[in-house]
Amino acid sequence: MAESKPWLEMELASQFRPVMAPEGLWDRIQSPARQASPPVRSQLPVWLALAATVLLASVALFWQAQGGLRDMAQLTSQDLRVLADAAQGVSLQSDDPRVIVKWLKSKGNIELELPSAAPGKVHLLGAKLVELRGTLIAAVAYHIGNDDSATLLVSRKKRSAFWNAGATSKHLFTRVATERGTNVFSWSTRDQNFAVAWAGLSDPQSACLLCHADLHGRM
Amino acid sequence: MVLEESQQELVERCRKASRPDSDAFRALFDRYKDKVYSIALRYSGDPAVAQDIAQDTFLKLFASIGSFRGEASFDSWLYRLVVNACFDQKRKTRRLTPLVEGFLDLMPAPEASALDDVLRAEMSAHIREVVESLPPDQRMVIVLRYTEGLSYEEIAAILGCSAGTIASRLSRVHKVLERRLVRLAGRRK
Repeated sequence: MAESKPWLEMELASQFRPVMAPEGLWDRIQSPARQASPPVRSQLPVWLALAATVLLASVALFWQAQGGLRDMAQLTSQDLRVLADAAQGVSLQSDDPRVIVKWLKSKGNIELELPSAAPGKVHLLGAKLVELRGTLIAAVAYHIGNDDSATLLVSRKKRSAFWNAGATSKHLFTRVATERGTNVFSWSTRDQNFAVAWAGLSDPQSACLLCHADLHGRM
Repeated sequence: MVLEESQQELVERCRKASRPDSDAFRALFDRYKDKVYSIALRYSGDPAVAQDIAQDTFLKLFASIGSFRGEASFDSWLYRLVVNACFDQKRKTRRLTPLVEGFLDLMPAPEASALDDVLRAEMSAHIREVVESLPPDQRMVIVLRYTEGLSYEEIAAILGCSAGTIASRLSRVHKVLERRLVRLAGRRK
């Protein structure tokens, strides 16, 4: 039998623990035409209804890391300040993801894919471009509630890998940092660096809703 | 007192059922949905892909349960279905939707410090990175071992190899993980 350290066995058991199947799986099986994205439950949990009064200003930032910044783990305090400042205001006001995507492409030659329809509590505000250590960053702002703010950061290292439609995503977490009350949580996936930053967010998971509509029913 | 229907009775009822939306199939689904989805999610690392795999598995199960003769256990038969579905899965479309679950796991508990989060995140990242870099059959060994808690012999029967091969694969993965995680622990001191 293969021998391993008990702590490693415990860690693996924790990482690979069983989970519960999501609601809606039976419906998928009864309607076997593959759904393009995970189903979003129409019934809102109570807390989310209460959170409707809370405005979250979120900003999605995206940059091509062909310049100075190659990894989120390299973010300095100065970088964090720049990113926090990027969350303030937008150059383009729009709640249409197609308009935002087109604007980012035309103004910054930055390709960002956004869901065509955001879940109920997410409201796009617009976008702006900022520069961080010589690297252009696109910022997409959105509301979820009405009180706190968050920032999602995305960095692309290899365009061909990231935009490969057949690629499987994964999250490799790298860092948690705080700067002037703004928390930044970074990860990489498919040769791409991401981070989400927020300040005073009661539930940081809500910052994921822009791209993860399937969380809507779980929060 | 209500006695739970035995697995054998339930499978037999499904074999006789004519419609996949029957109560028998629903009962079978309810009994095994978590098992199937867990394997699919831990193998793929992506909730959307895992749902596709689970869907494929149950559709295949419902379509072919009539051919299940009981020579092997139903569990083994089901494991083979989900393992094959995992191996067959090729995601057709992807959006900019990185896996969320790790992020959810890492949302700080009230008592957790930011440093704890970082370290936990790093360890989690290393384990995922190593496991996801493995060939599919080796990754499946990890999933069947740690998600399902199966013995080497059970895993070997499902994957069609020897228990020694399973032990060897696990040993290799353990060594790689140990090296990386011990190095990580060293950086924390």
